[in-house]
Amino acid sequence: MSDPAERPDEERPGFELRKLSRISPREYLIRFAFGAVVSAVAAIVTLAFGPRLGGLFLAFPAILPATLTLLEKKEGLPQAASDIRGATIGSIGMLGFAILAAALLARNAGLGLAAALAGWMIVSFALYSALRLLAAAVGERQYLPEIPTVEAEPVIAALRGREATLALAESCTGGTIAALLTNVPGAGEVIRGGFVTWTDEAKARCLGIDPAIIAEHGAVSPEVAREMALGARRALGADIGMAITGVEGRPNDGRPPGLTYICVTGADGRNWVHRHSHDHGAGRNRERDVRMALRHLHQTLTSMEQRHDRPG
Amino acid sequence: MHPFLLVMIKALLGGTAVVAFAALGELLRPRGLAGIFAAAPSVALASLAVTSAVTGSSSAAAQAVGMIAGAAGLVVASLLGIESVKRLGALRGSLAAVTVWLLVGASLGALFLR
Repeated sequence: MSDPAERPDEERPGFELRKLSRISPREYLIRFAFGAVVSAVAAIVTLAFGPRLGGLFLAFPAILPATLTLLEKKEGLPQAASDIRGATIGSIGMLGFAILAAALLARNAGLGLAAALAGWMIVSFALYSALRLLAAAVGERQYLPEIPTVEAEPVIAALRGREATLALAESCTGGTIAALLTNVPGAGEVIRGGFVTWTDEAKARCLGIDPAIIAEHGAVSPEVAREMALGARRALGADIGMAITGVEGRPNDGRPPGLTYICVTGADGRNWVHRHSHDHGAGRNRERDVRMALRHLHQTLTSMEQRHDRPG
Repeated sequence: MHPFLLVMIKALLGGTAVVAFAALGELLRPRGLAGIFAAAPSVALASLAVTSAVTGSSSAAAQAVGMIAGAAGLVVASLLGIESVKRLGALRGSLAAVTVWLLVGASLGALFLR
């Protein structure tokens, strides 16, 4: 894992031409259809009820298509939340656009629209920069993810429901998953403990992983995630072991930022490894990792319950 | 111009503008900037341009007044959307935000746009 102090300023604004292809033709099509439908609705309402009421629809929330296209992706939720943060700034910019357009359009249509567009850009980017400066001033760059404890509650409930104990081994999340889980009332009955194995050496010493496995596959690999989960479960004598290893900041050992492996292992030795690879930026990768770990843990626990409940 | 043709032209240009702004947003990093472009006044830009050209700029200005109410609703909807998407998931969270937008926009519209 990379040293947190070395974490680069990954979110420096700029252009990345290669990102253009990240939107699939299908997503562009959905966006086009959305824009066309909203425009048509605004036009029809204008014809039927007048331009003022029709104008209302010109500010239709554009959040919807962005999140809808993300629904198909497993990692959609943190991504969508991140987009909406930006959208909030954009919406204040849109308010600036509307005010300028209302004031200037009657005088000169072309110049009025250009001024309104410039107003939107200035307001949005000024707000964006101000928020970034504020975040930097309060040290938000190194922030921990804002994840409500309520998301950890189903995991604790599922563990208690089947009287199972859990052992954790965290690398890239630095104990955040353990912090969230232990904050839930009743966690003491089911959480055995956890390891924060940041370095390869810690993984070997605390979890008993053969250094040769780490050397062969790399610390961020399905093999090491599996060994970490098995090692934590073995060391603490728990029923369930869960481990996470990933790259949050700069590329590590040839692995790209955003690559994460999560492993859940059961009492019967069976294990499930999940891979995530989308890069959300240094701060947001951890949020995604923690959410996904909690989700996979809960899914595995509930599927186990179902197996137990099945007659015969 | 025939009303149907006007609606079709606005739909075509509105869709094109949304795609253009989305593509522009994807070129930018970090993600927050892409979000700003996702909330760009792309539909408004296209519609107001067509309205100005076809119906006249006073009609476009009236639409922009209505848009002020809608944009104010959008600010509220986006602020609530951050939490609603986190708590309810992408689909239900967005739908909740859109409902809020509709309620706030319609309320403001009813109060000020009569």
